[in-house]
Amino acid sequence: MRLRDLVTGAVGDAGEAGGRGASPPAGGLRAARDGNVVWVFAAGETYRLERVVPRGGAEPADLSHDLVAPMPGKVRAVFVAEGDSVAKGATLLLLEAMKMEHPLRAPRDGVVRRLRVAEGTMVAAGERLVELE
Amino acid sequence: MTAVRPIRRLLVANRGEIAVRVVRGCRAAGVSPVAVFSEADRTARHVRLADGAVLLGPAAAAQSYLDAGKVLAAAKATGCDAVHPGYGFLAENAAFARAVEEAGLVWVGPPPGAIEAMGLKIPSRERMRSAGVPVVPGTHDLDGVETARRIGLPLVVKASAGGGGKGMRVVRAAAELPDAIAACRREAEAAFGDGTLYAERYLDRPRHVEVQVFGDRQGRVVALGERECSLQRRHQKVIEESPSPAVTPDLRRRLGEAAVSAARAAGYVNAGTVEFLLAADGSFWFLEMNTRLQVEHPVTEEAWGLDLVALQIRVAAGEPLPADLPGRPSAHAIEARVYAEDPGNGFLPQTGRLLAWEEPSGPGIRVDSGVAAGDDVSVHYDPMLAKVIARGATREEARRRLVAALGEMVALGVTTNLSYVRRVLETPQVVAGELDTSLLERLEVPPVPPPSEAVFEAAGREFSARVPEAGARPGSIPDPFEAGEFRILR
Repeated sequence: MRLRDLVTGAVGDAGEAGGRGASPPAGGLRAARDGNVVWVFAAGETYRLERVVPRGGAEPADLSHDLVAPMPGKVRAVFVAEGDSVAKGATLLLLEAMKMEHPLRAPRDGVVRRLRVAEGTMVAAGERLVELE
Repeated sequence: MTAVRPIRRLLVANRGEIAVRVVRGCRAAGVSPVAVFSEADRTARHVRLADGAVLLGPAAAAQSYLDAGKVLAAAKATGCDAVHPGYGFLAENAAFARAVEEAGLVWVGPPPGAIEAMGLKIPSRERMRSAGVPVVPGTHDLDGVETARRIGLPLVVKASAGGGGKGMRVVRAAAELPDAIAACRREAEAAFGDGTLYAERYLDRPRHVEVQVFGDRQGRVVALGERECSLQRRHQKVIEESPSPAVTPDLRRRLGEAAVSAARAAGYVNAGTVEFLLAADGSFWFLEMNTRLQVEHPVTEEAWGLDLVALQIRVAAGEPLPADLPGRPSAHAIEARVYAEDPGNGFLPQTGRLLAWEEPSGPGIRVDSGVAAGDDVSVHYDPMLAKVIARGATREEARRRLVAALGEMVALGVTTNLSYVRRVLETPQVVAGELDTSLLERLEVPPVPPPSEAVFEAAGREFSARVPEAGARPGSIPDPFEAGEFRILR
């Protein structure tokens, strides 16, 4: 089973590794793909796997320094301005989605380099909201 | 006495799983259901199951499901003689209920006056106090620290027009009160258009136990047992059951009597729910009355062997409640709500397209859902996708059936709480029925096991010849080594 070798980077025959291989786990197995993300249901659990290093493709941009919208919604309140120093965990803004307010917190200590949204801005999931440095 | 006025065609003024549920209740009552839908719901399940459907407008609820004028016009245009509001949207809008009745249609719900009497939390508390129903100490005079001193901490700030956990904050220190009031007011104004707030004592670790009541137009009001809804997250119910593991036959009788008194004090007709907080010593306190069918009504239906929606329709038509209603539950039922939310990331609501959706079945299993594979879960509506309900001769049989059913259910494309609720149902506290309203916040839920080799193999196969890349030449087989490596996102 060459495919396993490819996705895990291992060398060898998966059919002999721990007795697993072609047979799906109890409860069946389902998979569905959406772009670079594959959803797999196995033994009652759902896993989301992202293909991160396509051959010849570019490395994904590093967004770990910035505050990214976890879901689409509307910015209800902004508590920081450009140039502010913020501590990891500080609430930077409130995002309203599905009738609830969700506080979005700083992923790390830093200084607000750029504020990309204002109160009332509609944002998409994954959109960068606050750039930190 | 009221003359029976048969209902032939009923407008289902809702969407999602509750619209599907009402359609099924119509079938049981021999009534033809008509659906309404927004532009986002053209192919939704409730639309496909109804006998007819009317487009209301754009996806935004304010321009579709919440637009009372459009909904009423849809009922008239399709020759409906009744309207069922489900829950949420217009269900507790007394002005809409009144408009339905003034148009000569039957409102499948309580009298508009009862909705008004119980809809605002402050007057309803006063009404309950006068009717002799025990009420938690509280105030609507929110003047900061003084409030905290008068009621005692911890306290909870709530929107008077609220419900469903929106516009609600628990305050444990007096200094937190001003922020809590500001946040509640913002949410309440946004969600209900009314920023009126009140505060009451917050009982630590109580159970949430609510009584299903039903009144007919002949003046009979009955209690149909309790539901325990203690498993909540941020005041949103997650797992409910009936009967409550904490309620003895004697306590059930006393809860039922208090609930019937509450319903009578409100002039109640049709299905309603009286919510109580139950303390460890068996004392209970009125929380609020919900003047509609509850999300969790199926556990009562399964434990008591009833079809509450069909009963609502018959009672609204003027029929009396059946003389032979059961006096006690004949089974145990537990329900888990399936939400599009990410338990691994603060339970934030999730959106996306359902790439796969498979519902469980089998003895004692019922699924109330409003979605199908291919549907988009959008930001416009509530993130609850479905409810899975298990019935058993005992609580443990129902629990085991529910665990197995949740493990069979497949939802791909949108992250859900399916695995989380299954693991909650396996914790020792839940197995033992030792529940309270803050249990979920402190419960240690076992982590999701890491993916097996088979999961990576399945992921790899999705990038092989079976699923060509966009732009790939037809018939070409992509090099499997193009698949690269995978990062586990959850």
